[in-house]
Amino acid sequence: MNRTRVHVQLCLAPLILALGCQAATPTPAKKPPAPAPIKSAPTLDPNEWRRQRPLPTAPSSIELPTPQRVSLANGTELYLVPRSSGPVALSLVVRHGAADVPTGKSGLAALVARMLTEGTRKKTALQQAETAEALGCPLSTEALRDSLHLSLDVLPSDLSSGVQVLADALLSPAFSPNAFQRIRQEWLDGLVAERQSPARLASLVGLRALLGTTRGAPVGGASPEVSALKVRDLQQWYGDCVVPEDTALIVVGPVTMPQVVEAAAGALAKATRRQASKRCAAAAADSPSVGQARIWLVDRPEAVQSALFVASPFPSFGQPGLEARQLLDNAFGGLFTSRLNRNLREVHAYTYGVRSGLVASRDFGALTAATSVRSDVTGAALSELLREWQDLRGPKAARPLSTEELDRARADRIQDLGSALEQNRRIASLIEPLFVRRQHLTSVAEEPSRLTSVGTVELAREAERLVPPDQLVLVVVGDARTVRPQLETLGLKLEQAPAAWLE
Amino acid sequence: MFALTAWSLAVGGLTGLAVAAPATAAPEPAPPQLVSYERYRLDNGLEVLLHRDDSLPLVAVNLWYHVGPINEPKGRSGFAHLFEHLMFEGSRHVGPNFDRLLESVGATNANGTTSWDRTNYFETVPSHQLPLALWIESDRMGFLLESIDQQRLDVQRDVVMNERRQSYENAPYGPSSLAMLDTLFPAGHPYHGAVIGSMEDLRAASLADVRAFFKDYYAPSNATLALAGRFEIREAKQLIERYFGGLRKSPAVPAAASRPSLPAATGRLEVKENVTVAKIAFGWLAPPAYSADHAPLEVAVGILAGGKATRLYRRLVVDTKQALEVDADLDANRLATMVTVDALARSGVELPALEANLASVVAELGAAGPTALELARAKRRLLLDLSDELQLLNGPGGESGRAGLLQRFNHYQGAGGDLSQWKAALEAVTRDDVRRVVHQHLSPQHQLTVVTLPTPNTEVAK
Repeated sequence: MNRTRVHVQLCLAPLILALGCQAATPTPAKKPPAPAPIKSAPTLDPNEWRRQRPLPTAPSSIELPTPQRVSLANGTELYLVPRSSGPVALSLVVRHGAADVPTGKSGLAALVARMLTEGTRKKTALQQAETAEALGCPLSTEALRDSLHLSLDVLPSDLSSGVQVLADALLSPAFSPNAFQRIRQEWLDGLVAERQSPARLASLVGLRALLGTTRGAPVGGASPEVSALKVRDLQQWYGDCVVPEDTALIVVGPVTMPQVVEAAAGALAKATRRQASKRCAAAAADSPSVGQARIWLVDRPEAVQSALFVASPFPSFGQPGLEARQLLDNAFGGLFTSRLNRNLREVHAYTYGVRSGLVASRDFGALTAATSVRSDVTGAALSELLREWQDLRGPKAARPLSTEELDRARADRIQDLGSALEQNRRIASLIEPLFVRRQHLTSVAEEPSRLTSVGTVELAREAERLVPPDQLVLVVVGDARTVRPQLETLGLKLEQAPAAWLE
Repeated sequence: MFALTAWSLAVGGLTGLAVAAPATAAPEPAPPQLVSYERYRLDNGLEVLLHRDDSLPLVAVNLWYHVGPINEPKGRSGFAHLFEHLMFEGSRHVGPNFDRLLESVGATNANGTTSWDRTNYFETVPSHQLPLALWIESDRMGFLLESIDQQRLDVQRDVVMNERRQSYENAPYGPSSLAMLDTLFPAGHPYHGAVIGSMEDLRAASLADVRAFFKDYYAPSNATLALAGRFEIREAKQLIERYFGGLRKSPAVPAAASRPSLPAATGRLEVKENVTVAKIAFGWLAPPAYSADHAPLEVAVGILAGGKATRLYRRLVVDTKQALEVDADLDANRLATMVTVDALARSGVELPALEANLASVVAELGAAGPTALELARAKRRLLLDLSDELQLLNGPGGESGRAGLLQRFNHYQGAGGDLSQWKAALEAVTRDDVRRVVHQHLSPQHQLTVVTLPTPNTEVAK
């Protein structure tokens, strides 16, 4: 039941929840005025009592889940978070993705994921779709940088059928050459359609400028490379990377582990145990453009807005300080009340909203910021963004993040984890990274305590890792005639983005 | 195999699915309400809906004002939405930092939205912070105006204009969607001008408009407050009385516009946009939300698109390879329901042929109806989606999840509104119902066609 609706506030960052209660000590927003020595009728606001911020009642804590886990003989892992109600969220996850494709074959993992819904060895694509949709939900597949996901929501009574649908798709794909011909062309048209979005185009250019054309290639691929893919490329990658030892079934819902094991035993246990091939690994990175101060410009004639994208290298997922980087991102540009949104939206009204984003994959990391601003204030908006960046970073930051900002960012992050417990699918999304990142089973449950241990010192330490504004990757997708003169005043070298980065 | 078992989707413990009964189970007795709640009114007219669920230490606060673009005066399109922005700008006693206060206690899903007939404000907070949320919501209901000055109005007007640019003017197919809306709802229709409004009307909005709109519509007697989650009923009632009970009782709210007797807007538009992929969209107006044909139309939309076994996908994406993507959507409101289907064209495709095929898929459904399996799949998906949504205390946009659905049914159906009835209506849809509503409401003579053509310059031409 989608319906037209205009969202006013930006959806506030990744939501939250601080049941442990980081709540600041309540203070009145304003002191009540002292009683005045009046003789005549009192003129005090009869609603003056409303100035007093109410005290919270007794807090409760929320318990984040530690999943149960068992392994099948072939190495496939089964994770379960039992819940008392709701549909069963099923995910089949492989811990290899777009990062593990050979150089020059961007889009390969994404095309493998896409072809998993184009029929199995025993079912045509239509039969496969009808089987899944008869359970109530289309089968969904997706490749990310470090993983590949198949997901389906089913009724508890359909657990076995749902697992069978996922297993058939992953273990017995048809990889029909005819179907691939159609899907590849459809995919190429889809890449063209995707690049119609100025904001998407800005991020595609930005990640290539930051990471080089291999690591920075979009998960969906670059058109020339996708055009050259063959079915045998898919089969090769599938054989190299999709193996039981790197596969897990994640189940969240009102079912038991014996039920999950029974469902998996028939569907997933038949695959032979083996490890991923050495070929299933990240390609060597090429040279990024960091350090060559410039703004990459993509002309979009007569555009009324400019899409801006800014990025700095930042540590990858596995490096220490992840929670501090998450909180830094939240305070800087994740919250509605973040520094960036406060400045560019609420003070200057340059934009409808601006968000930062933390990229933390297995092989690289980045801190990004993205927004769309009025064409005639593009230079001014970028200048403000760079000022905020400069104020945040470095050992002598002009405005390091304060305790109050940290507390707000932390409350948001912790409450967001708690609110995920409302929905089984969201719980599954918390559990999937445990497998992909090879984290301890208690990692989700312990995240609030890790977040609580972060102080402003740790935030400042992470902020020091950000590059200075004159080394940032900057991208502007807008009307060149209007924005070029504005950008030239910033003193940064301006270049047209290479055509290959737009593909 | 595909038959829906009666009440297999009933909400167990009010929070989600009960384990489904086997497909052969005998029909169960009349079901309880899917979401149990208590309804009452304060003396000043504020309507209250309370739904308790102790599963998590959270409570969703969701406040609907029964005002939207349907109430906007002539020349002020977009004003209801602009006003919604101003509701985040502070109030007399709480001060200007609503968002900071809420974020500091970890409020989630905190937002406001405007739809044709209503405006809502919502947040999910830790249960012990319920007083804080009620304090904020009540103060902006009663004491907003002193916080709004020309500078705040100007900033939020600019923010909304940026939103219009970002969501429509500079977004692929945004100009086409505005053209669709403005034609289906022509000048004189209360929905004309889109929720976002025109730039000209937004520029014209004044502080006097803000005061008048607040005085007329932002009153307890024109609002409904819903709580869903962990709280004690008695304590919640005391808090609600404390914070909302003393707010002014206002005179009668001006009546909303009724559906005008305008000729059906049909025909064909070509919109030239800065895109590279052409798109064809059909739009129709059907009877209002929760009228008898609403449920069959929801099912029809699910049969047309939404999965790889649906009709538009099979025909246009797989068989003829003319479309890159297909979609079907339904937007049900007080004066009308808008139904749309659309297709993004594959490269090199003849658009008239794509348009003809798009039309023929709809026409075939209207002529022969769906198969039994198609009907069962679409209904099962709708009911699974519903049960998924019912896990949430409050959903995105504030009109899904339990608090949001209570509000939605209350808004459109009043005290008699009930989610259980809606679920029963979906389950009762037959193949002939689907055939009939498609034939009757999605017919060529009632259809508006909007073709988006790629050109460097955006211009709208009839």
